[in-house]
Amino acid sequence: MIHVRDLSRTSKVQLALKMGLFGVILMQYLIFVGIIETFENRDLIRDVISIGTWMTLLIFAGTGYLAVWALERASNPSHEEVKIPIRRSWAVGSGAIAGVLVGASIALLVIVNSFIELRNVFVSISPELIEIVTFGRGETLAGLLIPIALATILAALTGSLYVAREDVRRTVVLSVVWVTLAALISDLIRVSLSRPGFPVFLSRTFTSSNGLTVLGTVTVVVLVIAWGIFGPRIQSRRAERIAARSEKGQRNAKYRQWGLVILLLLTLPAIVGVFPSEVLNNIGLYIIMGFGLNIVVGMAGLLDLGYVAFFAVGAYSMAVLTTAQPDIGGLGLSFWAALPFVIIITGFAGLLVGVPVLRMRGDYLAIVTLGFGEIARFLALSDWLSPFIGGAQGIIHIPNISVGPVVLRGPQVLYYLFVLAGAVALFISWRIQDSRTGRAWMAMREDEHVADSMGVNTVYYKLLAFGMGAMIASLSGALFAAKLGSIYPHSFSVLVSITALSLLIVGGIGSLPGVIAGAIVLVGLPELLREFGEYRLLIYGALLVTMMILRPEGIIPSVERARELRDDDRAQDQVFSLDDQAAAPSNPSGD
Amino acid sequence: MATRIRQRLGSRFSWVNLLLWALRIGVVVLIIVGSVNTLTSEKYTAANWVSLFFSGLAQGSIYALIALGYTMVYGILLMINFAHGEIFMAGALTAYFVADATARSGFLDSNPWASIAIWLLVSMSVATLVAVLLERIAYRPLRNAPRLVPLITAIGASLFLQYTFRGLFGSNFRSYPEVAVLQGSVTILGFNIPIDQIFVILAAIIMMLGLNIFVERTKTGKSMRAVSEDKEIAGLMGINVNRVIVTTFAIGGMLAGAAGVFRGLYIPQGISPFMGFLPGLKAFTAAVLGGIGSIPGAMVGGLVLGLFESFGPNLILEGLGIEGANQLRDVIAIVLLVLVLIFRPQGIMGEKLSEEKA
Repeated sequence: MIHVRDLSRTSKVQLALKMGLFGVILMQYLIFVGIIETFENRDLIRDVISIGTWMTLLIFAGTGYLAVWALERASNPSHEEVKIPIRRSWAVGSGAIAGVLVGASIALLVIVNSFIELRNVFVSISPELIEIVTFGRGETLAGLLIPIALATILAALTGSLYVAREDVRRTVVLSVVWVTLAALISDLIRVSLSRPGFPVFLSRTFTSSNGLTVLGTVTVVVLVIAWGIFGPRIQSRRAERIAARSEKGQRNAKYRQWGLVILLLLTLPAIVGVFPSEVLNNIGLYIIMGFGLNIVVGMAGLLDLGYVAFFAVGAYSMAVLTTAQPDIGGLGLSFWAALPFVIIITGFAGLLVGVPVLRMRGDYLAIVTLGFGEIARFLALSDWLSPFIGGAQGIIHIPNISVGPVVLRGPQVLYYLFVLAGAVALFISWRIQDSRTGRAWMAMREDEHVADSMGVNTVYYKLLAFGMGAMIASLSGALFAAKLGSIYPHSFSVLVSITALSLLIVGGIGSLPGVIAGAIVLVGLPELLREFGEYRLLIYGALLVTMMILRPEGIIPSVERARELRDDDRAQDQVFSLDDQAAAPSNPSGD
Repeated sequence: MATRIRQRLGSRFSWVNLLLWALRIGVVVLIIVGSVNTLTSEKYTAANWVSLFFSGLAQGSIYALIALGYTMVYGILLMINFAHGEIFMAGALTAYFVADATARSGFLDSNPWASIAIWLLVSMSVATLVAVLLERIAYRPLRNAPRLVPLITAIGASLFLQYTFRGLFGSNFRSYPEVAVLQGSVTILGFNIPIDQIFVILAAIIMMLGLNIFVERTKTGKSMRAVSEDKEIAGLMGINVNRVIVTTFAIGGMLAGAAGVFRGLYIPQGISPFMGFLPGLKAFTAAVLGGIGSIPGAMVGGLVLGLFESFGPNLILEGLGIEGANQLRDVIAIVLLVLVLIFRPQGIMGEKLSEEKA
């Protein structure tokens, strides 16, 4: 066996230990933070394995995979060269070494916990948790040995999987991924399958009220294997067919695809049912806000952390204008009559925030807008303004939206309003992006002073960005107020701003499809996976940090922003002027 | 070139200037009217004002200790370590468990000073550890990224820390045990001043003096100052820039940890994973108020902010006839932050920074 860089035996073992330590940290973190225990209540495969146990096993396996991956990287330092395969014995060995560490750390936890009651300080270390991580054996010798043995074997297996044939490796990894995903959204699958028109046995055989059934799991695995065998052939045939089409035919196919998407969008609430429609509406709420914030942050480059203030102003002005609550002095307008006023009021609020921060840049602007958001919340809560906006009691009796004589009630109907408002926001963003205004914003984002000397009226465009962002947020706020029928100050915390910003960053700053993808991932998924609720913000935080370090341009990047974020020379705020000249344009991902 | 740009900006910004001047005058008028109304109504006695003064100083010295972390990191990296409030929380929350243990075992009653020293030690080491890890994992890979990238990272780190600590210790509010020796008050010049306030103020002052000596007299302090002047040149002069940055984070964390214990001594209630956000924001205000990047500035800014917060609701807001003025205490700090950033971004003691740095 040829090695490009001959690693000594000790350094290989050290590497495996290092990766094992990484697995230990991850494992213990999940245990101590309580994620493992929270997910124990839900089964992945009904009555076979719970999600908590599944996660534990995944970490065992993942540690082995990671160890061999690191070994391969260390033996093949350069990316250009042909990969030198890792010897199977070393793959198995590294995996096992890393796995032992993870298993041993669990055993250690159990031992320590039997001497000192850790629960007095760490709320998650409960007797149930000990049962989970010892696979039901508790504080016995078997309970100590089983995690160690399981971790070692699993990690060694995945280690050898890493060096196995490409198709085997892919099938196994994909099966695990798809089974996990299918199990996590099994509720949604179940609801969608169990409706009139569908045979009842479909939902019963594949999904249960608590995870997939065994048959469902087998089906997913079979589908993955089948796709592995037939997938490439189907794809190549389809590519041939598309290539054979005339230009007009291709265009028609594109129209047909868009038609399908729109049809799906319009029939979605009828397909998925009531509760998922509610989730869809929440996603819609954040998609609208995301588009608005994208104008401010993505296009104009003004990091606004107090975006919730505009959402709140929109919701509160809608509430005050329409409520029938007598002590607020509501005007009792209809939704549609109030909407123009709401938009104008919120747009004005945008200008009000915009003027004082005109001369601030970058990070100061961010903190000050954060402050504005907090001020908005404190004012909404205060007794001082409570005669006008209800104080901590909020505003109730906000009427339903009606179109003519028809009153829109229920999430499945309101959905269409969200689609409409989202479409308006999308259309505005899409048309403005490459217009004169959009280009002015881009210039301003790149370098304010240069833009100014090139004749871009920065004051006007900054205020325009704030105003437009606020107006789009007001749409979201107005719908929010009308949807709930009542609003309370605590709905408008800084976390709304953070969520909107996170979805923008995860999706890709400045990218319109990114906003939608970000909202689905960050708002939709947690609502479907109830257990995630508690850890949603923990995951947002971790996502923000990892995205910024590994992939600052987001999952669906906009071309322009990707270049800016990757390449310092073009960035607006050069922080370390000397470093920039000295170092080559840095690449945050390090690859 | 630069002057021409400024001229252009000047002519175009004129109506903005007008608005800002109106805002400035409005703020001054409100403060004067409010204070005069309150003082003429003679609702409060001199003893009330003195007690407000000392509680403001005590609160302010806690802000100052946290603000030092912001200002030192900003001085060296020009980044706002938004997660600094969470470092303070980490110290206060972990030390609570030690404090609780000492109170239960009776050690606190027999050796109160030793107990407080132990709390401080725990709080400071945990906070230092969190700060150093934060720098190593979240900030170091992004040191050359555009300015907004580390800020977003810091927000993410802040969320992550809050919810990690919630997961570890639960989200319920806890209270530090009462320390018998710090109860009661002493009479100075006929005014009663609570002992815990005096203790917090004195301890904070000692820490700040220690920091000043460290930065001005020691070799590490000297290299810190060199790095904050110019990282590049400092590196060429043989200073280990990375080590200096880590040291800065560590010292900032240490002071924030100490502030956490002082917070627990001064206001025992409300110890929770989410206790860091507002003090963090306020300490940032204090740092900006004093002039970000300046160490004496952070101390002065913290004390001034504490006094503002203490006097503001009673003196200004009540005079303006605002109901429930104490509910708006937190708003005062934020409004102050906004006003300082608009009208005097260099703060009280800060130097006028160049465009790139400001």
